[in-house]
Amino acid sequence: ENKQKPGDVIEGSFSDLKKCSFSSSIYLHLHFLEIEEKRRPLPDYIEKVQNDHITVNMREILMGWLVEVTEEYKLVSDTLYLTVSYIDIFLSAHSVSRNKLQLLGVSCMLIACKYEEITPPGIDDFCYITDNAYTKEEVIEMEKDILKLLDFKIGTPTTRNFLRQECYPNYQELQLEFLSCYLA
Amino acid sequence: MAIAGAGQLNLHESPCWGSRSVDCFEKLEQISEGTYGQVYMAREIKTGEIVALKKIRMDNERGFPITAIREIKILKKLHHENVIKLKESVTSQGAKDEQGRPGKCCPIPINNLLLGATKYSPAVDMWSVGCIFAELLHGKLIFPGKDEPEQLNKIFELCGAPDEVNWPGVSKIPWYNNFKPTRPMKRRLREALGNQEKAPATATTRRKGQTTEITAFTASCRLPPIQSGQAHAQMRPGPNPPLHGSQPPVAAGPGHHHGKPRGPAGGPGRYPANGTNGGFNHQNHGGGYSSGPYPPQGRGAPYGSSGMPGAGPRGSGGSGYGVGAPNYSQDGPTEVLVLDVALT
Repeated sequence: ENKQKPGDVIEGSFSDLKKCSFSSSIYLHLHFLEIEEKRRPLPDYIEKVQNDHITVNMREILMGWLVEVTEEYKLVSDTLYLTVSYIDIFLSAHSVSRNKLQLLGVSCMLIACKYEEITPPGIDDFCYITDNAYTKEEVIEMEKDILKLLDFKIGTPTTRNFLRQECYPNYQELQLEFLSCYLA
Repeated sequence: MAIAGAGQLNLHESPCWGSRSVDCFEKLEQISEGTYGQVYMAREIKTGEIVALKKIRMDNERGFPITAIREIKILKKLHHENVIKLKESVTSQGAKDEQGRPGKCCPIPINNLLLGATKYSPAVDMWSVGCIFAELLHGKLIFPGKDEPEQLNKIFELCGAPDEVNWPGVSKIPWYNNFKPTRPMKRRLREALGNQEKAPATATTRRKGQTTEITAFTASCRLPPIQSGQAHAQMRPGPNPPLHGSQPPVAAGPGHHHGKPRGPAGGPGRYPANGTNGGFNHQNHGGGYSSGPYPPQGRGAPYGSSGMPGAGPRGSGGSGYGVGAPNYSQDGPTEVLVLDVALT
């Protein structure tokens, strides 16, 4: 999580400028995207959509595992947040069986990696990390379903964007706090 | 499903995305082959509708290419007569095809760092923006190099060779000595682009008197000590730009003001006398561009003939030109391309 991200370099050199001229319009744009209905997960999808397939507990386990994957592959935290938002949006629309939940997790992470990472892990890496519970074809098929549902809009704002936007001096701590809130 | 008339699409009757197979279409002929895959002219068997089919190669290692995801997202959002409309996506075994209708698409530039530079910055992005605008003006790729040395050479040919005068610190860049041009090259961007008569139609449309200044070549000309960039990773054969000092082959139409003699066009004192030419401000006050007979321009799109605003003679005003070049020039010679851009 301590990896230097390319964004940070630009952010550093641009931070003053950002604050004075772009900050508010960036925020407004992110907010505009955030309030789009289709980009928001249902707050109660576990009860409403999942019909006992997926429980809060199972989601928590999945998220915990994805955090480990993030660390294992040294992914940036934005990728993790993005993954989580894809998962929630997907689970708000489709009922997913228990044995496919991890597949959803890795496929979402695959997409998030492509969006966020400079050198994203390949599908093989994601199959490997699930102990080859799923085949490449299954991951690709799931990826297709996710993209279709997201309407190819994969650049969705996450809590991370807003946290960064707020520019808290100690946002690393806040981020952890937020993450634990998220998992709870 | 009804057959769409000419220029129209059955966009509202499209079946669910990705639900159909490519077998619903009969391929007629290959139109072109791009970076991402082949494009075919095809007929929908059921309706007889003619469409373009673009095949997207599924990367076996990475799945759906991120470039294709972006392309689809953007195409779904864009509605413009000059931009292809995306109608549907269909699948074939293991592969995914996109279906749309022929239109015009800009190649998407890919940033790259040259000369062994390692640091990205906004200047690199500005360079890319500049390359896109230059391409719009030019009607074709401006730096069609197929590898880094060739790319650099193209850039030097057009923008002049970097040296310690116009780019302080350039000699400290890792590979500068390897790629340093052997002969002196002068900047001739203005000559190369300034004579493209269709330029006004594409890039200098004014809307509500709003002027947006795009500092296209700022970054490259200032060439900040750490970055340079290239705009086109795609390779397409293209004619070399005209040679040094020669008049560009495009005949100037009447009322054409671009080709005015070099000199302190940007105003006295703006550019230090260090070898960079004149300036790149289009000092075109008043109704400059007239629609003279445009010579054919290779694969250049027929801008100006498609209802593009501003295609006709430029009217009064001209207040936007050359006014208040952005203040990018504190630390070196800077040339700025100022364009009016219609913001829609």
